[in-house]
Amino acid sequence: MRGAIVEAMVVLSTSRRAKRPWTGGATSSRGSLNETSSSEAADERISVTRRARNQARTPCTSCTTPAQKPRGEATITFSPRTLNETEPSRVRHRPDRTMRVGDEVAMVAKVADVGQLSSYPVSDGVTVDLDLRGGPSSSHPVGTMWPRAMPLRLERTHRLGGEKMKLELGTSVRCADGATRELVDVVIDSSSSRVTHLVIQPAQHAEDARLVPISLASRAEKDGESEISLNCGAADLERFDPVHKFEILRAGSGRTRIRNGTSESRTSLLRQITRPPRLGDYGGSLDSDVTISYDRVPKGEIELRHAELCVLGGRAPPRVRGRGGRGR
Amino acid sequence: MYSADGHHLGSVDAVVVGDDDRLTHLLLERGHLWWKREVALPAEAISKFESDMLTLGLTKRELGKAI
Repeated sequence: MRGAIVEAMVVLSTSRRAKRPWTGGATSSRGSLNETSSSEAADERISVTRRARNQARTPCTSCTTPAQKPRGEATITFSPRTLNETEPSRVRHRPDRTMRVGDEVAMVAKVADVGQLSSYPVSDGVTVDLDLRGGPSSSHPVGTMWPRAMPLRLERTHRLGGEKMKLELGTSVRCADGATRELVDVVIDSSSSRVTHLVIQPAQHAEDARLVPISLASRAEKDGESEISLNCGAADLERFDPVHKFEILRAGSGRTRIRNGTSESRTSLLRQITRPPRLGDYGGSLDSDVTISYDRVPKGEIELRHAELCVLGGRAPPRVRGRGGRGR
Repeated sequence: MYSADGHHLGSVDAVVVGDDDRLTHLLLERGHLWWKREVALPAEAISKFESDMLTLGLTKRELGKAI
């Protein structure tokens, strides 16, 4: 077992020598656990994962004491209750962003199943201790798992200085398992002007659109062209919240009001209203229900879609064009 | 996209995010079918975010000077 641990650490130390964080891929600009961009990296990851399965739960020897923490990493401490519920072994967070109650952190539930990312809301019981000193991120050895009482390790998202990521609406996004999805919308926190989520959907299947945290997205190069890759597989996308919601309003139920919702999300966008046919129109059936569909985005954030209206000078727009339909 | 006085501005084609996921630029597609161009608007030019609508703090003349 000791040999397996040493072997895993040797693999990681090799990647450290290459002056880049271990991301599983050569082109990732963010911390990543399962991104695949080359067969060599994939082989390396598979071998590391197999070694991890053979290991007992061993704390990361390089990270247990603050003095020995890898540079550029941050620490988050979960309450025991939260820890027992989720049993996370790694937490990925962007330390340059202030974590607040209600934020989401992406974590891997089991190191042995590298790549199964989940998002969990930060609850009141979470203590955040961010250590932003140091330079670029360097992952601690893959395969070392934290015992329940240990503080969780955060990987600082690393992007090269001044690097920007272009999110082109309507383009394809590549998942970690090679599947392609389509980037249709972006969700922006209106107070901080930060992009918080991407709306990802399978091609031609808008009903399966999911709200994916942008922390899982990174820029990658393929065949000389830049593309967006996700640090999770296509199956993992199903875990995220669907964007589109549908409601059927019964005839005669009067006006409906889309409530401002729960504390975590609100309905923000009335996407389409299908009204019952007027007298004399062909309606197909006598069903006079009204179907509405709308998008749900986190509270306080807005959704930016393709063909969005842009107004100069703050005056009222004459009309709205795009998939949102005409008028508001 | 239309301005308040009916001028066509273009459509949001892409957004560019910086190091901390902060919005740095909006890429607008302007022009016609045979003469299209992409205009990068700095995020500082946006004065108000709303779903389905972005309000710039620039007049059309100022925008024309900027691009």
